[in-house]
Amino acid sequence: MEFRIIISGTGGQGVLSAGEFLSEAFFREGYEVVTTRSYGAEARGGSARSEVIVADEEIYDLEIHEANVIIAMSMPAYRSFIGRARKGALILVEKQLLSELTDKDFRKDVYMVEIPANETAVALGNPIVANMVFLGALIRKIGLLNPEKLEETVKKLIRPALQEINIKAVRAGYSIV
Amino acid sequence: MLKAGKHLVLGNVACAEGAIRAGCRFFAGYPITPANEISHHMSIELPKVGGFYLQMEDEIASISAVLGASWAGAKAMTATSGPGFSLMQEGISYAHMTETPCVVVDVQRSGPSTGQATMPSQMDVYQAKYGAHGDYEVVALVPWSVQEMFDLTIRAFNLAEKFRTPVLLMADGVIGHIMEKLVIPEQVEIVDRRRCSSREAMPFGTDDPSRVPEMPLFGEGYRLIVTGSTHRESGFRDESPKYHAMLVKRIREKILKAESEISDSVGYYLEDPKIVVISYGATARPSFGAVKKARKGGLEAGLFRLRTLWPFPDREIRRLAEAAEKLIVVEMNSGKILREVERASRGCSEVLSLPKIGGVLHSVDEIYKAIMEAYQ
Repeated sequence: MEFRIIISGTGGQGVLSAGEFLSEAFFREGYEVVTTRSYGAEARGGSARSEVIVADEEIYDLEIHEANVIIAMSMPAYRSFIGRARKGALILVEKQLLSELTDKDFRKDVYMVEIPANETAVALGNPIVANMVFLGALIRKIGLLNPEKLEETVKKLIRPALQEINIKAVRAGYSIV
Repeated sequence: MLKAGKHLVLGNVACAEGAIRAGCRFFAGYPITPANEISHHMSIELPKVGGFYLQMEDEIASISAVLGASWAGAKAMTATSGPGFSLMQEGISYAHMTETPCVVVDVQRSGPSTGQATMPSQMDVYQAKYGAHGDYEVVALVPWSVQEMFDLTIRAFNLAEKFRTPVLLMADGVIGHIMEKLVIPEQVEIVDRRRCSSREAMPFGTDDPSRVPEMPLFGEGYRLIVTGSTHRESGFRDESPKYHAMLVKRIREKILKAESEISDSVGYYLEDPKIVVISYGATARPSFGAVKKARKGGLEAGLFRLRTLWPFPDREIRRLAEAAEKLIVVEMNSGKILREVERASRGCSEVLSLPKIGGVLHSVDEIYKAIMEAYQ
């Protein structure tokens, strides 16, 4: 078993922290994890990405040449990474982006799921937790973690005042897919 | 400092954690990607253990401050990448000549010059060996995992202290910037420099078979002179051919005679190898994956992984060249250690190169394909 996950979006959307939460949660569950935070000039307001490899045995391929899961939180991120999806990959894409996608943006050989992450986060009271809605949806879809494990990690890594809304966002994401 | 136990951390953080456990209490550096997390972590953690963190005006000042701190008795370190490593070369040469223990970490990125500044490479491996001017012998370690960023940083300090020499940790931007498992033990083995046992001890000469002199420190009452110019055992300048030859011979021999103790490599599946992949650092990871895959398919492939680049394991490479049909050198540069392998194998087997530039790491499948092609 091995999942190669790319989380992508715009700097400021919590892409890197989503990668950290997810990695820590997998790690606490006993999986082997290799996480890469890629940053370049794009760290300043452009697109950002986090790559998480999770497996039940030692990991030798340290870079993701082909992903089997992609989270796309912004349009530039979607267009940058859709080409790196393996055939049959799971693509979780922000629902608000769908209207902007043209025919040539779609791939027929992947499994695309729209996530109303922004809308859900705003309804919860803070658009910043859209990343956690995605993580909730992701763990439901790939089935490696239960939401309690992710919530435990949220409690470890996030300051108390923001824990509740992040936990709600994970649960909301888990239940919308 | 992280507690003993299992953690998910960045390679660079593991390096800083290892340094502090090895006894490092002084860090001076100048910011550069992809080494910054080492400085950052040191700036937070060193003051908590009574150590000092200095951000200097550049890399020349950084290495100089490290050497000064070492002579004041601290275990000292700096961390940088390509362009900064170039600037430090003069200081590293001074460290060789003055026999100053210190650790220099180069988290290699892709050059020449500012090249692909945020992307990884293994392009400085020859700079580690030949970058500084003069006659000297280099000790350079190379980690392939976050765990080894921790373990080999500790070893770098121990070797620096034992042999009174600068030690280089030639990490790469891949290993510095991945997060993976680090297991911190309750205790680590630590070596401290031999301090002067008497007023008569010579700071730059010894009868000891190790050829490593005892080290006095500034501030302890010794009349001490430290100079990069050729000096007698006492430290006083004497640039005569006799003293220069004596000094340079000794500082080279203290490393050369201990080569078997310092040199460190790991072999995998080398019982009956037809094809041996030779690699180090990040590229050894997909190499290992590829060799395992080849073994599953019944191919007699093995991996020889360098954990010290310098001293270079000439004898082991020669033995592999005699036993195997082909050697494949996998590295993230345009083919450098390749030349060392060609030299050491002395034509006993065919040496193939699988270089990679562009700031991207080899995949398991790429290396597997090269093994298959070599096999046919």
